[in-house]
This record gives sequence, C-alpha cells and structure tokens, in this order.
Amino acid sequence: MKRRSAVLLAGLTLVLGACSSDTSTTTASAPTTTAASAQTVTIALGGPFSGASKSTGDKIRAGAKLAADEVNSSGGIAAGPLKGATISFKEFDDAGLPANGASNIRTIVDDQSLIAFVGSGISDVSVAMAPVASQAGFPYLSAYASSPKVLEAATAQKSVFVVPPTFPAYSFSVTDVLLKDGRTKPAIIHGTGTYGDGVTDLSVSRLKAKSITPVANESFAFTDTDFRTQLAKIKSAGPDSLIIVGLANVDALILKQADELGLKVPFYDPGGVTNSDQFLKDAGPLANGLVGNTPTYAARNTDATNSLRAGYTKATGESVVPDPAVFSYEGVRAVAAALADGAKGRQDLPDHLRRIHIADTGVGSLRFGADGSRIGGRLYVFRVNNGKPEYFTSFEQTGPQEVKEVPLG
Amino acid sequence: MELFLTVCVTSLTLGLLYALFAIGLGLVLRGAGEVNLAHGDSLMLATYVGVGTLHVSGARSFGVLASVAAGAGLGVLSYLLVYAPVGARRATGVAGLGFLPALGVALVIRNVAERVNPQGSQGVRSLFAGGRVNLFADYRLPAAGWWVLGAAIVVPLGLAVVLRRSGVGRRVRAVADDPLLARAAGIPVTRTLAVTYAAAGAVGGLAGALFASFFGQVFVALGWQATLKGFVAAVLGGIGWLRGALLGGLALGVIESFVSGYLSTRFRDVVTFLLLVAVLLVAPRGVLAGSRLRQV
Amino acid sequence: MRHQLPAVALAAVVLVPAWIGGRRGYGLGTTAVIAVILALGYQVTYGFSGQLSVAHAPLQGLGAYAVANLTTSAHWSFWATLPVAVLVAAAVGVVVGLPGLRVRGDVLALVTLGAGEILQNLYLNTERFTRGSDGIAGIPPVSVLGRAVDGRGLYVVGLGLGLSTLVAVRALRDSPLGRSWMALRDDEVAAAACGIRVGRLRLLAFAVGAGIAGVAGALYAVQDQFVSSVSFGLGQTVIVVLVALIAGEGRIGRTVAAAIGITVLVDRLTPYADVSTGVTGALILAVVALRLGLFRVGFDRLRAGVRNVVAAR
Repeated sequence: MKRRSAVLLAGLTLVLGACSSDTSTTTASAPTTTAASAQTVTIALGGPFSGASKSTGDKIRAGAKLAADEVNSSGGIAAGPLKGATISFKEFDDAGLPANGASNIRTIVDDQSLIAFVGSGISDVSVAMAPVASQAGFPYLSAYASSPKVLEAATAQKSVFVVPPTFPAYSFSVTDVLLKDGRTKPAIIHGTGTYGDGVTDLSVSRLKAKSITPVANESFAFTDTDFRTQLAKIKSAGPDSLIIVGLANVDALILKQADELGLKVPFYDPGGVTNSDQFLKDAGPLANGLVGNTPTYAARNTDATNSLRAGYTKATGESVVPDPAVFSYEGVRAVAAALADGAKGRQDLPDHLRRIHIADTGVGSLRFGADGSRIGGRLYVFRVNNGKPEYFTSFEQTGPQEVKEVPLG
Repeated sequence: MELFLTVCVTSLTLGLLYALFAIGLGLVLRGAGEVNLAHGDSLMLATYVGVGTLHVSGARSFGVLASVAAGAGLGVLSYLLVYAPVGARRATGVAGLGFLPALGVALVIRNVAERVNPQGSQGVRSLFAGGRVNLFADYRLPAAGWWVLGAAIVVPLGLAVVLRRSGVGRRVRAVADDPLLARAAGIPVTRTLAVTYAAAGAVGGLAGALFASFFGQVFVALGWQATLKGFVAAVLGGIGWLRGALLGGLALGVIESFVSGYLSTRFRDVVTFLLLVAVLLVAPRGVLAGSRLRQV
Repeated sequence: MRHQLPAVALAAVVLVPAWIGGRRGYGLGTTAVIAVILALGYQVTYGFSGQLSVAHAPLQGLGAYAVANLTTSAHWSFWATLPVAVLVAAAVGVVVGLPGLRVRGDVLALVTLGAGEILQNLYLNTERFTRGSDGIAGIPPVSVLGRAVDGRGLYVVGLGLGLSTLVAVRALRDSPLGRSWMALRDDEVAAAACGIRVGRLRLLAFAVGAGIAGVAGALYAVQDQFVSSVSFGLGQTVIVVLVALIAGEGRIGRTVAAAIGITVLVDRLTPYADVSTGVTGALILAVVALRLGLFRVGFDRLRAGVRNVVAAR
C-alpha cells in the first residue's frame, strides 16, 4: 500500500511533466504581417489574466492589442533603427498576486528577446516588480497601477514609468473641489493598505496646507462589511463632509450605513472608483451628490478619442474604453514612439521614453517626467446627479506632487 | 451618548448574526463531533442561491426558502459524500485528519461561488419585507435588523423544542451522546446525522439570507468570515446545544464593536483570535465538553 | 530501500531544472527546494513529536520578514541575516507551541490556527516592520564571494541549504532526541514514565520545526526579492500539511519526494487559476481518502458489485 502511493505520486509527476512546460504564451498580434524580412519586437505584457481580478487583466490585454494592431497595420515602427518592425506580445500572468509578479519579472529581465514590460493591474504587484526592473535598467511601464511607491521603489536606474496619473493627482483633484465647496470640517473614512493609506495621507496633507485638519480619520479593512462604529464616531465629531477612500462595493455599503445612522453630509471619493456601473447601481439614489473622479472623460470629443473608442468597440464590442485598457494602450503606444525616436533596444529605450511626446493619445497628451511619472495626466471630476456622473471640472498633473485645475475639454 | 448607543446596536445586530452562524457550527460540533469548516462557505453559496431565486421569481419568501433549502441540501450532501465515509474509517486514527476533509469541501464550494460571481461581490435587495424603523436620534434600522432579532429568538427556541420533545430530536441527542449505543438501540445513525447536518445547513442558509439582506450585499469572502466568526462565537460561549452559541455570538459582537469603537479597528481581529486561543487554553475540556475532538 | 529513497528524491531535485530547462527551470528548482525545507521542518513538529500545528506558513513568514528587513533597512548580507531568521522563527515557534503543553490533537490544531491568524494580522498591521500590505520590495540578491548570484547560483545555494537541512533532520531523527520525540508521539504516558521531559521536548519540536521554516522563509525572500503577508497564509500551511500526510509521519525521503511533486503540480496548475481553489480542495479530499484507504474500500466495493452482476448472469 505504502509503496503504491509513492508509485502513484511518481506517475502523477511524470504525467504533469509531460504537459506543456511553458506557462506564458506568445500572441502574435497582427495577422497582416506578411513581410518575412520584417523584424518583430516583443513586449512582455503582464496583468491578472486569471483569478479574482481577471476582468482587469482582460482589459489590459485588449488595450495593448489595440495599440499593437494600429502600429502594425500602419507599417510597423515608424522610424529609427527598428523601422518597419511589428509589435508582438508575450504574456505573463500574475493572477493579481505580488509574489507571482515578482517571480515573473525576473524571468522577463533575463529573457533577452523582450524589449520592455507593459501592464500589471494592482499597485502591490507593480511595487513588487519595479525594483527588479530598475536594478536591471529594464524598461517597465506600469499601466493602471498608480501608486507613487512604484516609482519610489525603483531606486537603482530610472527605467520605470507610470502611465496613469499618480495618487497625488487623484487625491488633490477631489480634495481641491472639497475645499472650493467651502468645507472646513471634513472627516475621512478609508481602507488600509497601499492604496487606502496612500491616498488618505495625501488628502490629509493637502488639507493641512490650507490649515484644515480632518475632524475624524477612521480606517477599516477592505474585507469589512460593517462600518457603523466608525461612522458613528465620525458623526459624533460633527463633520460638514466625508472623504471616502474605498472600492466600488465598499463605498456603496458605507453610503447605505451612513444613511441609516442619519449622517447626512456630502461625500467625496478621490480614489477613481465611483465612476463604475457597480457602484452607481449598488448605491442607487444614495450616490446623488457624491463627488468623484476618473482619468478618462466620457464626453471627450477629439479625433484621437473617437478613433480609440471606435477601434476598441470594433475589437471588443464594448462601448466604453475602461481605464486599464486605456493605460495599456498608451503604454504600448509609448514604446512604439520611443522606438521610432531612435531607440535600438532595451538599454536605451528608457532615455527615449523620456523624450517622446504624443500630443493626443485619445485620453490626453502623453510624456514622462525625469522621475518616470506622467506629465499632464488628467483627472476629470464629477458630481453624481440622478444616478449619473455630471462632469464639471478637471485637474492636470504638472509634477510628481502638483496639479492645476483646467477647464473641461 | 449617540456613539455609545450606536455601538450597542451594532454589537447586538452583529452579535446575533454571529450567533446564527455559531448555531449551525455548534449543532454539528455537538451533534456529530466535527468542526465543520465548510459551514460558512456552504451558507455563502446557499445565499447566492436564495438571491438568484429572488431575482428570478421576484418573490421574497421564495428567496428565503431557497436559501434555507440550499443550505440544508449542501449540509446533507457534504455529509453523505465526504464526512460519513471519512468518519467510518476514522478509527484508523491518522492524526491531522480532524477538520481537513471539511476544509477540502469548503474550498470546492468556494470555487463554485467564485465561478457564479467572478466579481467577488454582488449588491442585493432585501429578502425580508419591511421598512426602516427609527431607534433613537436619527438612527433608522433596516427591516432585516428586526428579522435578525426575531430569528435569533425563534430559531433557538424552535430547535430546543424539537430537540427535547420530538422523536427525531431525541434521536439526534442520543447519537450525539454515544453513536455506538444509539446504533445498538436501533437508531439509524447515518440518517440521524444527516438530519443534524441538514438542520445546521438550514440555519446557515437563513443566517446567510439575513446577513445579505441586512448589508445589501453578498460576497464570496463571507464564507470563511462566517466560519471563523461563528467558530470563535461557539467556543466563547462554550459548546452546548444552543445557549452557548447565542451567548458567544453576543459576546463576540460586543467585544468587536467596542474594540473598534473605543480602541482600534486595526487590531480588532487580533483581539478576537487572542480570545479564541485564550479560551481554548484555559478551559479546553470545559468548552469542548461533549464534542468528539481529538484531545489526545 | 530506507536509505535509497532520499538519494532518489535528491536526484529528482537535481534533475528538475535540467528536465524543465533554462532559467525557468532553476526558478522552479529553487521553489522546490524551499518546499522541501519547509516540509522537513514540519516533519519535526508534526512527524517526530506528533503535534498538529496549523501555523507553519506564518512561521516561515518570520524568516522571510527578518531577511527582508535586515537586508533592505540595515544592509546586512543574506548570510548574516540567515541565523537571525532562524532564531526569530524558532523563538516565535516556541510561543506558538506553548499551548502544546496544555492541549493536544485537534484542539491544538485549532489553537495554532488562531495563532496563525494573529501572526497574519500582525504582518498586515505592524507597518514599521512589515510595511503592511505594501510588502517589502527591493531585497538584494544573494552574494557569494562578493558577487551577486543569478537564478542558477541561487539554486545551488538553495540546494546546499536543502541538503544541510536534510542531513540535519535525518541525524536528528536517529539521535536519542529523535527517539524520545517518537516515543512521545506514540505514547505520551509511557514516555513520561520512562523519564522523558514531555513539556520541554514538545516545545523543542516546535522551536526546531519553526527554525527550519525560518530557513525556508529566508530563501523565499531572496528568491522573490519581495515579501508580503499573502504568501504565508492558511493556503500555504495546508499544502505543507498535505505533503506531510502524503509522505507519512516522520518519513524523510518521501517528504522530499512529496514536496517536489506538489511543487510541480502547483506550477502546472498556474494557468488554471480559475479552478485552483477547487483543485486544492479536491486534492485535500483525495489525500484524506488515500490515507484512510477509502479508494481501496471503494475499489473493493466496485469489484464486489461487478462480481455480483457477473454471478447473477
């Protein structure tokens, strides 16, 4: 019996070993590449392609593929030593787990056929990956993860870039609207962790710059469902507004419980999570009056925007281009632009990434500052009215810690 | 004062929900001698069934019934398919098999729920009728809160009557006290234990439906949370048939709410688990009296 | 047979990288070595002394956090932090094992489950030492003779640590101490009557098991160059318990083989994350059924059934 179990195990191991041994898959992007002589540049595409955040991963893939298709169908890389080369991807699944991302990036950096990394959904994953890329001087473009810690973690060489606006832009845009609304006694309720604590600390410092201290600052774990104790504490502090740093489903719970407790103040969420169907549906009429923000402006109407939207709709059948798709699209566009700018390979790609300037990607202008953060990333601020977001202003990121208000358009 | 009253109401509603989680775990722990780590995940999946039924049929009572029935069904199914055959061979005595089978069942059920709701959470409308009622100042408790209170009174009372007075109740208690003796006395042990698991699952399904209605959401992580909280409550109260679960749930609700109200929300769970460890250490035999947990 | 199995198992570890091939192979090989070390440590606590601990992965986390902290904040070398990782894990292991003086069996398992949850909560909330849910990134690679090693080098380092652990655990098993542990496991009352100091030995088993988990944690930290609490949860502990159950109490050679087998299995399942929870659950049930001989019972019943049908014809 005992021997049999050992034999069984050995057999199982062998059978499994016989299955395909490489978990990453290569997806050739455009079937239109016929010129056999044309070169191909391969980008490592990372994200949660499985697991709980799979939908984010699917969007990252769709956006990146759209950008590659555009480049490839217009004759490949436009100029430079790699002129005419087409873009293809090799996918690396992190399942939304930092440990997986950390192990992926080592494989990626070692694989000399890969020219850059684009992707990764969640901030924790990017924070785990960025230092390894930075050590190797490997070009790493974080699409979607917007924690400044991604850049702070890249201490060795400046090869890490963050495509979306970073936390300060998110935090300051809504906090500035709150100040402009004349609130002087805001309270805060926030989730703990990279995202919750990060955005909250920035909002507190922004308020402090105007000599305002929150009357209460309560925290919760993202797995919690009952916030009545924290909300009661907040209510007893007598605030005139409440900043919520949560997630779509958590925000809906907080609004509902605040209503039960009779905490009737205007709500502000700087996290960019409230422009989602899930939140607006779950919160219902309670969402009315809430001020939120998002990096993509639904009513933007430029040629580039309309072409991005049309391309995405054609490729996926979805009418709205979601944030992860937008930023992976921009990431791939940035790599293509840097190659066209004269980059020869992974070594000098970071320098060229810092030199490019795409006037309008469909979301806005794209260029990077010396530290790798995006210059000119925009956040659009809205107030929910009758269950729909009504945009009224926007903020542009002008430096790692600076924003300025710019009119819509 | 308003803070204090709110914390009291929170303690009570949360505590009673924990108590309802604990009753199901306690029934199995006392009645079958097993730590059913799959209890929470079963009731979570049952709640999804209830919510789906409400969505399809539009009738609240159907939703609640479906949740209760699914809970009972999952309980019986996991008993017949896993716990019964494992229990029959337990005599071979491999240490470490105590609650592993239940953990396996929990993970399989959780995977099903993950596929049902890949987003991980789902907003739901209440499965219980009624509007909000003003308690004090401007605190208005949703209707489900009153149903929680009602269920926490009716369920233990009803179960107590059934256990004491009815034939099936007597058989359940006889099997719990000594399965070998019960078998010798002609009681169908397997069928009786299936009834125990069904009752526990049904209470779980009801608790899940109440939880989802009270918070307006159902989510996959609810499963493991319900198992942990219910288990801590069952241990705190001392595992009897029912009274322990009720007292333990209330105690846990009070401790959690007051720790997060007056100390810190970050270390709330540390306090909870320290209590669990402390109680298990101070009075292992006392609290676990009657259960067939391997203590040697 | 008894002395051949470890050798065969070791050959398997050496062969894994060659078999899978390339850099990915060395990565998987190092992961397998970590799993082997972790499981060997667990065999000391569970297999030798018979104490069912369900806090093994959180204890491994202590070793990983110790290395992550000291290499990034204090710029110690990996080799200097290794003993610290072992000592910290062993010390906390003793604390987690204290309940073992009072309770046994399933109750001890539940208490250690609670202790593991407490450790996990502390990892998330003591920002100063663990950086909370951010985790600690930027752990420098291991240096040997002043040069940073690559994936292959780390695999060799891991193999060295794994072999040392294997030799140490085998020596421990065959020592008087090991025999006392096993006497304790098989009959505590008799062991006590023979003059074995039960309490001290039970704690020592926890300390040694946790210390070895600390080595696994240290290696984990330099492999991923990143540490966060999610890597040391109940799921990881369950896998270690499964390895021990497949191998059998105190069986060293088979522990090595089972740990490698499970590592390869988990690696193969990576593309199927949608069903990974359920597969883990099914695996637990399968191992339980295997250990209880349920497959054989089912098989016998099936055979009897078929025979009856044939006979009826």
